[in-house]
Amino acid sequence: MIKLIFNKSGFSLIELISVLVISGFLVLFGSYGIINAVNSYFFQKTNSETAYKGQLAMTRISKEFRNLTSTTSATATSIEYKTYREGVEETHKLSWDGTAGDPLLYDNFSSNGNTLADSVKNFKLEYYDSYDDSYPESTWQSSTKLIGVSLELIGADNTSSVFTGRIRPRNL
Amino acid sequence: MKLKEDNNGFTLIELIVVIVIASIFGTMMYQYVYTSTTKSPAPIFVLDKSMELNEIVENITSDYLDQYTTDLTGLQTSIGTTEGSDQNNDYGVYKVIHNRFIKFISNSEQTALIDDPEYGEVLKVTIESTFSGEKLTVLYNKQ
Repeated sequence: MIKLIFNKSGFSLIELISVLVISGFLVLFGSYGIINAVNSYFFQKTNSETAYKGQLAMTRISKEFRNLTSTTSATATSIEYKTYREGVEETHKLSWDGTAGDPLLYDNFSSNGNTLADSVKNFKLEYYDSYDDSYPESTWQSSTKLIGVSLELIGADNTSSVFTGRIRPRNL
Repeated sequence: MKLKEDNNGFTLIELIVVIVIASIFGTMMYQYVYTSTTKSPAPIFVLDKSMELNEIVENITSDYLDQYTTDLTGLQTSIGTTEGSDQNNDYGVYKVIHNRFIKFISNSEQTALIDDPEYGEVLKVTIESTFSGEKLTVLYNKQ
């Protein structure tokens, strides 16, 4: 054993070459693994960001719709409504222009809206007469009681995440 | 040429050291990558189920506002009276945890029995998502 470990004859050219070739392969395959790990890390990062973004937008939309008192115009991709804040009646608007990748805008009255969620793939509003209404309308009716929201966001690697919710305005 | 014909291979110790180091490195990578990749869809899944649960509550609330503001017993029946039972109806798919009338005695909550004057006044409903186990509690009062 001791004799083998302290063998002082040095490496041969062949040994060096084969070590270099083998370590080259190892580095090649190892780096594939590391690249995959790093890629999946960024994929998850974007995924959780998308989830957070969707949650934030949906929470805000729920809050807005829950308190609306009436609507002035309401279609499948845009809704303008009245609500009371500290006793004062205000008009607000939620709209998406229908082009995938464009943001969902809040209070976009004269092209100066605030972004509620960006990279929106699809945004759809549906108007239900009751909770068990199987045929929702795409515009607001006088009989509308519930608003269905479907928000699809573009996430990592162009995959999309769909967030759906349903809100009953309490102050109609 | 003399060196080329050197027949000294790797020693056992060298091999063992290389294998041990490689396996330690492999285990570290596995530990690092495994949980983060297999658990990565979890936040979106949980969020999805959470919004589904909210939707069920909105359905129940909507039904309450339309039909049951003066008849909480009717609401109790349509939610599913048996506590602990799984339900699959027009509201959605959920598990009933609490569905009972309650009363408050010196700021503590108690179940209102059928003889109590408070029976039928405040309905406590707790439902659980069948998929994620998340729970949500709502109180409905008679108007």
